[in-house]
Amino acid sequence: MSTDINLRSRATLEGDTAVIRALVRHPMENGFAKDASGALIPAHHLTVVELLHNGRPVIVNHIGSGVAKDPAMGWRVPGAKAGDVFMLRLADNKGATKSVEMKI
Amino acid sequence: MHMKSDAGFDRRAFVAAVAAHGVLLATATWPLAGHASGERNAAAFGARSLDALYAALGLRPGDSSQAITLGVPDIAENGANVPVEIKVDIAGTNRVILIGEKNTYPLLMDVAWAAGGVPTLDVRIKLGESANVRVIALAGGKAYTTAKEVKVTIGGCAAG
Repeated sequence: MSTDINLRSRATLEGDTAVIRALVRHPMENGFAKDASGALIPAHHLTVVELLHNGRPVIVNHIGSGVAKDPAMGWRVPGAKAGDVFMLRLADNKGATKSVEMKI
Repeated sequence: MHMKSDAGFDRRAFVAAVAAHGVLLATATWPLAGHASGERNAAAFGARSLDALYAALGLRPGDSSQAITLGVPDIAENGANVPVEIKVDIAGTNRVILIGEKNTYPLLMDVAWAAGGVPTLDVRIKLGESANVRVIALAGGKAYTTAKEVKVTIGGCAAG
């Protein structure tokens, strides 16, 4: 099984505010759904998404299984300028992780 | 799930980075109350009722506030994918909690901001049935809240 998470993300600048968008391909299974044979599908969901601005953690999102499949999320970070580096760090309940850097 | 399963990256490095920058330590509820280094509150995410959730979080929703903007559809055709937009106009807000009141696991997200952050959040959630979506914002150690009902015509398939 892959230990990577599929993430597409974008950081853009609106004045001095960075607009960060993330689209994660993830099943977000809560452990209650059943497959075609009637067996329970084990819980498999993101647990945390962290956003760092030039290395400084600015937003920590703790996430439950009630967030929709293939989560799309967005945040705004003030005090940003061209050349700043944003990093997204993700982890799920099975230990898969992903991190990506974006320069605006 | 306990913290270990959440720790896809080095928590000690994270704590060291926070200490080095210092700025995060200046905010009253950072680390998140009762959870060193902003660790996931597993008891809160595992709570199956609002009472159990508030007990695990160690807080109550607080006073209703018009300064919290909660954008949700009045009617959601598909409970598996309900868009939510949150904006909090309360100075000093450093934590926002998103709840689906009738979900099996009511706690959807628990988000912390460093000092000077803009507490806005866009996300899509699952709702098992028509229910209140509630936001709790913490600022200066005080809780403020707002809630809106979403009518779900097709449930979110055992939404949790």
